[in-house]
Amino acid sequence: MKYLSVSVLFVIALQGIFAENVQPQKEQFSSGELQARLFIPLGDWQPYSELRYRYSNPAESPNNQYGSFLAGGYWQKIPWLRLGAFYRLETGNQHDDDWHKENDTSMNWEWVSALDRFESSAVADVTLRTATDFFPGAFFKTGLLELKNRAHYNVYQEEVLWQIRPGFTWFWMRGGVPVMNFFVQYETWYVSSSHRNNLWEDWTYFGTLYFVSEQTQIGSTLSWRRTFWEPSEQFRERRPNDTYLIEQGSAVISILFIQSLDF
Amino acid sequence: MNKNILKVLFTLLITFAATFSILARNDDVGAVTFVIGKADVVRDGKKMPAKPGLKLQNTDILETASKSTMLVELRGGSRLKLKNETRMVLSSVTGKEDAKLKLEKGSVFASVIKRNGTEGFTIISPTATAGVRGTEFFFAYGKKDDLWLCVNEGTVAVTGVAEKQEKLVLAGQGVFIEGKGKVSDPAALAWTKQLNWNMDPQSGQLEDKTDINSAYEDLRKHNYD
Repeated sequence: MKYLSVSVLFVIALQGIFAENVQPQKEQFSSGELQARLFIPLGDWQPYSELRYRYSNPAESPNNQYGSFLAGGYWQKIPWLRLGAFYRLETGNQHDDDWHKENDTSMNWEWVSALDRFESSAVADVTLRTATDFFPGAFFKTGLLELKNRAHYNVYQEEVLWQIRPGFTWFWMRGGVPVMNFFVQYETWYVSSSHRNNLWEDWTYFGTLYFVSEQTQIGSTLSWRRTFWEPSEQFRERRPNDTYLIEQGSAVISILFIQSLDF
Repeated sequence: MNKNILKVLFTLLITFAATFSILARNDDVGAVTFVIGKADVVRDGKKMPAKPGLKLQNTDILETASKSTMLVELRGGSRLKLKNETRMVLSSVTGKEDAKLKLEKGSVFASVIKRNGTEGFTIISPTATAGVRGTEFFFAYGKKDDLWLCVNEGTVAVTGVAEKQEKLVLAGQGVFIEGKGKVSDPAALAWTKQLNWNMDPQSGQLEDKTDINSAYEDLRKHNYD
């Protein structure tokens, strides 16, 4: 009886030592980001490209760097409607399915590194804009309401991400020309997926742009980003009766450079 | 003989007095010369259609309707072209000193004839005054209480109610006067190149179809994302 008790205790102890870390642990972190945007106005049509690089603190390793390149163009024949189509290339883009176990005998779950992975997406954009000068008061004379809607088809993931972003921008004008603007935006991301039930990410932005000239602006944003991690494919296969939903927050400070090339 | 001379002198005196009396009662300050669409003159509260040849008097209010234009020539030879939906008061026009016109809404082209060093033109609005010396310019209300002024020839001195110092606007330049009466620095304004300055119906198209809203940067087309 004494040996049985010891054996049971030993097995329980072993399970404690070698338990699978099935659920990912996600901590809050902070990121710094650089963005460069280029517009080439050609009447109603404007080619546009964007470079983005984000570095997060090492707690996010192995995926603490992110980069993207976007290229395409906008068409705005009607003042309140802007349509866009783009190609996007990303690296360091982490997904639910990156949470995996190396093999059947391993007890260790971990995040796959996305730093060497390049993902292509096709992006469609429909943006609605209206000036707010119909509201009473001098303040709203130089305001702008915007609703940006984008659909991203990620070829690597074979899924569509929906980006919706309402926002308000106020322009400080002098002599009819903008000097600075200030904006607040809220952005949500959803994934079209049969297994995913919740919001993928949301961002709340507060930012400003300074007009060095009509063609050149420099600015900064402070944003709070939340990511909602749901079970990876491997997890769902191995533990069909289990689930998790992990909310992870991060603060992002971005520096923006915007340039228009007028010919 | 003396009686005949006295009679002639008396007759001349009566004639002169009568003529002077007619001239004194004749306070015509100008006339309507051309109208496109619908325009009216309001005098002593009564509205009458503005037709070519209609004499104008001080305190007359000139009004144009939508898609209408009115040409006016003032005593002294200065000319005005009132664009659509404009309302202007002839506050004081004598032909001998500064004419004062009050623009209450809309927009007006003015071609001022300089007869001597002192004669000029002043256009008054609630937020700014434009003093003109022999020149050609355009004065317009924009959004809400904003005003735009641009000069084609000569010089215009603009003073906003928010400031004491006047700014000189030269030919080819324009200024923007915000609702509170602050005047921007004079600069070349791209939208003014579209203005139709013609005031002679015989020379071609009279109507100016420039939309004053094009003076403003369309924030909806602004590029940031």
